Amino acid sequence: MNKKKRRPNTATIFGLIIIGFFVVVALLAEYIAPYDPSALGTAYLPPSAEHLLGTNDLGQDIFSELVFGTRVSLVIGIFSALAVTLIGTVLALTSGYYGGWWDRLVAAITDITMAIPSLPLTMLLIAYLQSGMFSLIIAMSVTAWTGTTRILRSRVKQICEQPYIKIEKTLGVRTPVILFKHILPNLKDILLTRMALSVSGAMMTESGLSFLGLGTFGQKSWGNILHFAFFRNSILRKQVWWYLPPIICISISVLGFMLVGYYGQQRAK
Amino acid sequence: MLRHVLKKTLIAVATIWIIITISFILVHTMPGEPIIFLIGEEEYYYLLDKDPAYLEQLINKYGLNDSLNVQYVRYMESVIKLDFGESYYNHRPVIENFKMAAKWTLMLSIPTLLISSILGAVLGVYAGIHPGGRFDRIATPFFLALKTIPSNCLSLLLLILFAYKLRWVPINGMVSPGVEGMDRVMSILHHMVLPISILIVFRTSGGFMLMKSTVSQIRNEEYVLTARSKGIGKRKVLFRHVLKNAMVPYSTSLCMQLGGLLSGAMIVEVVFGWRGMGQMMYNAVSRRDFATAQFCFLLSAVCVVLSNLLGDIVNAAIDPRIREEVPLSE
Repeated sequence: MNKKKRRPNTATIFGLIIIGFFVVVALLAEYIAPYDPSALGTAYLPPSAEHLLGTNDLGQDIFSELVFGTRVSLVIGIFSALAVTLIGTVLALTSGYYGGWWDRLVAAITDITMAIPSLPLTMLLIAYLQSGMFSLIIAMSVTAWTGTTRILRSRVKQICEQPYIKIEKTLGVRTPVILFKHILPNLKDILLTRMALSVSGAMMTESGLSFLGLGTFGQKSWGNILHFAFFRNSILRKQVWWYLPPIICISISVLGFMLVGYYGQQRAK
Repeated sequence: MLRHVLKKTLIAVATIWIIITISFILVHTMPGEPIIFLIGEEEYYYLLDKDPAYLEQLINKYGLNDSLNVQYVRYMESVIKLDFGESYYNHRPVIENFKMAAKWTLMLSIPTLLISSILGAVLGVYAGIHPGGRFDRIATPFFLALKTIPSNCLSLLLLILFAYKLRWVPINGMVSPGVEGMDRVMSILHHMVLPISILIVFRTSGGFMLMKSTVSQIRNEEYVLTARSKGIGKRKVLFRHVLKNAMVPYSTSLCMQLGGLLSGAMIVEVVFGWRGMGQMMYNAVSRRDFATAQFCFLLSAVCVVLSNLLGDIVNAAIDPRIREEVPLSE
């Protein structure tokens, strides 16, 4: 198993390169962006040496906006995925390990949450909550944890049937030790791939919501840039440099996380 | 069979009840006065400033001073009576607004469902019986790639290409103003082409993937091999043995898609200025029109629950293996 792990397939490597690129851009945003993305200037400048991708309706440098948008988009995507994975892991570990009424309750809650359409609930929550990055993450995570929980729960159940877990239980090894030292490491691969998929899902939802103008305020994500490009008629003005880059960034980063999510697990098998 | 259906129905009813309860709890636990969610922010601050007595009267009218239990029962009653209050944006009952919007959405979503389900099934079966063939090698990456492009991005790109560059279709809206009769129908159709094609492409990709994987899985089942080795022709095996089994998951997924008929196309509707349910919910949320937003949420949730129930029933009706599974429900 370990040997195979050292040669991940091309798709995974490709995905990791994409993710790595965007993470570096997000971390070094201050150094890469030539301007402060919120600084105002001359509006609607076409691309030039000073403004690589021109300026928007407020005269903000679009390239700098994109660079800083990477940070916002990634932070939202990754933190929603972390929240989702955390909820999913805790529920799956406890319900899969203890079984009984708690397991049935978790299964029932999962089923019901799956029946609630996620986009409308997310939008409803956004309407009620104060808008901001934190509420956006909460609103998206509320419905997104079900898939991870289900998959992990069935895996935990499988592992609990293994002899070594049964032996440990009989020997009286403390529960936290079994859970975190012996079951959790076995979930590592699924956890990582599920998380990559959660990130791509969250980034897609976020880009959709921000595109609709329901996402973050103040901090512009890629979806927000696209929102302003679309609703300020950049298409009519033929400002390709305004509406196309955020589309490309969103699609490529989602693709990166998806590649890792779908093909990442194959190397482990 | 009856027991199975009964059980699923009970679960569905319970789920709907929980969803209604969630939406009640949302109003009462969210930061801010509940009255804001009923009459809207602007109105609230206006009244607070100019006419606090009337505001108090409104609070009493909605019974917000009663205990939560009383309010909960009343909320349940109003939901059951399909009374969802009025939209504070245009002061019409939410139900009236809904009827207008639903008509337009269904005009998009019903043809989408019909065409994409057939297209997805046919293409999926074709790719599934020749895995690795030329068609499979082209179609599978194509549909997979579609999954990585967010729908808002794809809609925008196609809008730019077909409406702005090629000028084949109108840019926005549902019907050209001032046309009547047959011309009106043609104009609506003309406006529908692009949004409907985008929806069809997205829906087809889901159906295609499902059908392809089921068919290619069933192809390797032993009973298919047995049938072939008994000398039954390829075509007959395909229709009698493979397709018959492959239809089970597909029809379930079709039933589930029925739940999205009213609310599944929000982003496409917003991009194309289509005044359907998606647009209605979008506007409600951005205008903080809570009565409408809450109604849209309840409606789409109930639709999804009911269509899942339908999926379960259809599934049990066509697949005897499922309805025997009752004791395994634990």
